[in-house]
Amino acid sequence: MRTRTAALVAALALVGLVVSVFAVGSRLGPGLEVREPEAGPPVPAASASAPARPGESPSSGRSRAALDVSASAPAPRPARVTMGSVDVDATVRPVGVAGDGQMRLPPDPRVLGWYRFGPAPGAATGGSVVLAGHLDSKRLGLGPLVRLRDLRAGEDIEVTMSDGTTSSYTVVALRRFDRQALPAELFSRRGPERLHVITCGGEYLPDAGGYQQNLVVTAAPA
Amino acid sequence: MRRTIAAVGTAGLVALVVTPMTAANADDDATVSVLHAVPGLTVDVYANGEELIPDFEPGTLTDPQSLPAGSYDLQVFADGDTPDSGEPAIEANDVEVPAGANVTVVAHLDADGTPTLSPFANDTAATAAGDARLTVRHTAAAPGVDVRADGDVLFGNLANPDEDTAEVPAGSYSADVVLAGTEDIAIGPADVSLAEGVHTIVYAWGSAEDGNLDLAVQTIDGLHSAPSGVPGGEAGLAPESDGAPTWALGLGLMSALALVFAGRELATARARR
Repeated sequence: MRTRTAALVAALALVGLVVSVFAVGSRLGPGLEVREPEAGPPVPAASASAPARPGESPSSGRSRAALDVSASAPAPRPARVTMGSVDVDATVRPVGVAGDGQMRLPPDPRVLGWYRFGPAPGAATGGSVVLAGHLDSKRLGLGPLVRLRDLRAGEDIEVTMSDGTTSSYTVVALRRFDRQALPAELFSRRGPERLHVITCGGEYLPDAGGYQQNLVVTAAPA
Repeated sequence: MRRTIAAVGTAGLVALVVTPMTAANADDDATVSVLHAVPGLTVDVYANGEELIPDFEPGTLTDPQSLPAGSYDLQVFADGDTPDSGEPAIEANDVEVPAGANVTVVAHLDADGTPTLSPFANDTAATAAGDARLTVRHTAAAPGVDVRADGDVLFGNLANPDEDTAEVPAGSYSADVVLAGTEDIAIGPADVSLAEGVHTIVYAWGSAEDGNLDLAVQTIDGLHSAPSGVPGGEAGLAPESDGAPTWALGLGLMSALALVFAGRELATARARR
């Protein structure tokens, strides 16, 4: 009788262990943690905006220095981003830098900001296209980016431009960084084209500035 | 030294212009641009006796070239004249070009209208995210001026050959140049676009007396930095705990203990049998 009880306990304990290990494992490995070599050569300290054009005559390494007042047509910019696998379909609008030096984000968590000083999708210079948005807002509640943490490698992100064209990307990595230690390379303006979608993550500590981490999804052109 | 400059001045020029980055990164080199801001005079520029820039027209700026750091004797001849056949129109001896520096040498008029050469050091330090750097250099035969952006005085009482610089939010500004302390517009207004991460250097050049004051622009890009952070949430509605949930750890611990006890019980039972 004692033997049968002990056997039953052992069996239950094994099940418990399996459940526990699975739960711990799934929590410790959120999404995926694929590392990729960070994009691009280091940004040069200074380069001339008028690049030399090989093939012109030797004495032509010069240009008119007159003030350029010709208004160029505005370049297409990201207008919408969709991530079908996690049911995200959001408007995108251009944003810059806030007074505190951080990237300025649309207050509405349903809208993503595109860092307008960095490259746009398909830019000749390559580099990082950065989209970022609030995870939640006090006024409007949770936004769709709460589902960013469920993205997996190989899933698709599509960016629709203001001129109607689309750029497709494939998720290659999902990473977390401490809020104060977001690598500058995420904003690289050269190197292979990457899409970085950034929101908040980690613990929420109201007395320590709120969310403690950034969640960064990296995608490469599909 | 003469030989080095000869190489730079002729065949070397092509290679240096094509690969300015590689060359500029060498420790002993400096990056040098030359702006011709003397109205009405096409010239040849000589460095240490060798022709550096032939047929140089007013209002033109050379691409940045990598030159060995050191001391240069610069001479500007009216087009066609050479050091052997004529006297230089402008001359500047012992112009120091320090290693690693980014320098623009400007041939321009002084306040009285006499042609002169002035070297300016260009600030290539990184700019804050979202910002642009603007420098204005007074290289015109004109009195002191105020430089205004969107109607406000940005640089006050700037005199030839001085410069002033500021870091401002990137964007488009309506700029004009007025005689210092007045509303008398000398140049402009013009819409000046200051790109983020770019050092835009504006030269006021020409002669007030001859009525040919103008602006020349040089840009140095790639000075941008990344934003300091991305504040992606504010309400705390979707926190993620660090690591594993407590219940999972608790269950694991209990299960492990139960397994040990049950195992011992089973072993005892088997031994008894």
